[in-house]
Amino acid sequence: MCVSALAIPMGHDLDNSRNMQVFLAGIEGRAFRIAQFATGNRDDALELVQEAMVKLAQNYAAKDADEWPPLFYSILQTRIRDWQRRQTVRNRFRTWFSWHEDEEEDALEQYPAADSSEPSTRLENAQFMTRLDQELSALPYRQQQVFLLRVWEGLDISQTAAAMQCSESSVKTHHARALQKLREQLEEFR
Amino acid sequence: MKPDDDAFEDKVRATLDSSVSGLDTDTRRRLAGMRREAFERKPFLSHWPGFGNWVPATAFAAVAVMVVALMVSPARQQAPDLLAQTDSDVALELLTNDDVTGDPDFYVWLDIALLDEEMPSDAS
Repeated sequence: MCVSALAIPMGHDLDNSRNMQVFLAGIEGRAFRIAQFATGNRDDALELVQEAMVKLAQNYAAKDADEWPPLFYSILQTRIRDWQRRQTVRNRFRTWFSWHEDEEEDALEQYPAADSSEPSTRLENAQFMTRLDQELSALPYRQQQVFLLRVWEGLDISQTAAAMQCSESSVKTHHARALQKLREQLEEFR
Repeated sequence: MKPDDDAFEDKVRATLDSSVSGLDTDTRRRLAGMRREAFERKPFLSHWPGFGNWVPATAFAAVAVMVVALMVSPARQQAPDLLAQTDSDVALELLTNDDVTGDPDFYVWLDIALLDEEMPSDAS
């Protein structure tokens, strides 16, 4: 009796661990891009995604799989906000000591073309991608992240509000403003 | 939301999806490695087997030991010593004080009187 009582949760844990690995494998690319939009830096984005993965795997593997996406993005958003606070402090020091570093990366390096469509379509897609990247990066942090979580990740309003630690009405406002700005800026690609 | 907005969001979604599928090999490899590591890295507390079970038991035992230690501590033992000291002082006083030792019959009478007060029914 003791053996079976122990074996069931262990098997359940194993299944959960496998399911979570599958979940993370499916979400990691988008999570990385979302973090990259927020930080503008590849290595920082990777680090933030890693921290979110570790926290989710260690603390929430026993939760229902349906709860993982909002939990994961809540953790990631918390990490992004912490990163922003650290950056603010670091930037102050840099300003004081007049220490300038050029850490900007070429956004195009992130998009190797692997497209089988016609060259003209490919070019247009590449141009749209570059512009979208620029315009998303230029959005205020909350508008940008709300837009990505709602539109790309498919979180609902309440899940997005929980992840962003803001009200549902704020989510609607941020989403609407981001959409309006992006449409205005990318009008030429319609 | 307008139908145009939906079409625009679909386009954005597709573009962002393709940006993920076009991630460079190094980034993909690092993400996969991070994912594996997330499951290999155990929380600090779970490094020790049964940590969740024996820590509360150890804490309880430690508290019990502290309580016992406080009960048998020198400070606590001082009370019986003081009592013993007080008793010996009284005995010495009784032995040396002429007023007390001078009339032992008085104490015999006092004992009987107190006994009668305590048990009036028996006395009657």
